[in-house]
Amino acid sequence: MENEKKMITLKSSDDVTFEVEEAVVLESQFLSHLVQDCPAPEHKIKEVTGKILSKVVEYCEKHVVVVVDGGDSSSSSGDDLKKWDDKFIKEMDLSTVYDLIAAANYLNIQALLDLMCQRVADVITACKDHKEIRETLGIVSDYTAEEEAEVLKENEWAFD
Amino acid sequence: MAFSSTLSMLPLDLIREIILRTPAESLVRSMLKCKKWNTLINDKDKKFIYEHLDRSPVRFLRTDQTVQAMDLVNRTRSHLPILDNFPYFMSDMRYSIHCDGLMLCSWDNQCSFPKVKFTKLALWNPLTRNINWVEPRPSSRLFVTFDYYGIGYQNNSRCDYKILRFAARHYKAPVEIYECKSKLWRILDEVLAC
Repeated sequence: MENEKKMITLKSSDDVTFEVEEAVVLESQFLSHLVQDCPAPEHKIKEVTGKILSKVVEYCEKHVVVVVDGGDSSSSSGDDLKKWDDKFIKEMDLSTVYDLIAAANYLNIQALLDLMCQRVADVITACKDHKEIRETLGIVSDYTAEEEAEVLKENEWAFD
Repeated sequence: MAFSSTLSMLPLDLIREIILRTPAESLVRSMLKCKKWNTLINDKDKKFIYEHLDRSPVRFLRTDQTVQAMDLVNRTRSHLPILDNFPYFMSDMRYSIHCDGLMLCSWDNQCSFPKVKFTKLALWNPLTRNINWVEPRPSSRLFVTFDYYGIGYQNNSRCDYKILRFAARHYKAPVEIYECKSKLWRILDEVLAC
């Protein structure tokens, strides 16, 4: 019975461990290769902290369950998953989103990367002007005062 | 900690992924954010712009006194302001055709000849508010109201839009093609059979 579900332990950069089913790990291209190439029971992921890895595991566990249970992927399970994704991102602050983008890219989980990039794009879309974009996203302008005035003049309407 | 917690610290290819998903209006608005972003958007061969265009939903442009870009699927619309010094009224536009969000517009020239109405032709980008006037070939006749136009591009060379011009009444008039990059007209060898 125990052989039915192979468990794998992931260890974050700050030594937080997560025990997950192999199917969950396979959501990540990077981890799939790692598990195949190196059949050790525990894998250290030096690039990802425990806080972020817990989010990654949470996301992958949810998505793997739906795919398995859904079978021929009925529409309701797709809708449920979308609702779950919406809730998942809404509860997250932007700095976690950035970390998750970097982690999803590193671990090669395309769906998570898409979801997180779209989240930031939606935040940018919701901003009224360039100042709000800058403040919300914490971007420091690398323009000189003169250059800034020039761009502002050229694109006056966009900054009303 | 190996990972960044601010957007600016993400690698450029990931920032590119984010802004590829951001609507064009917001990108124009964000031009002032930083040079790095501008370099990403205005890259060589305009690769970013066309990748962005291909990912964007199909939208309708409605021109009246204002210009609206409407996304009928998501039921959203955004207003694109018109240049303050826009030389003609939107309502006076004789017609407009479009390609990739670029509008080829013609207006009746205000000081037109009593019988034959001359028109002005322009390529207008409502998003960036650029307007480029198209002048006829030096030895050709002026643009008139019974000219017909088309706009498009050849194969995948979207960087060079072409305008086709032919006359409805002048059956002997040559069919001409204008290349937007070089701003030059050339005559097509084959005259329309009909």
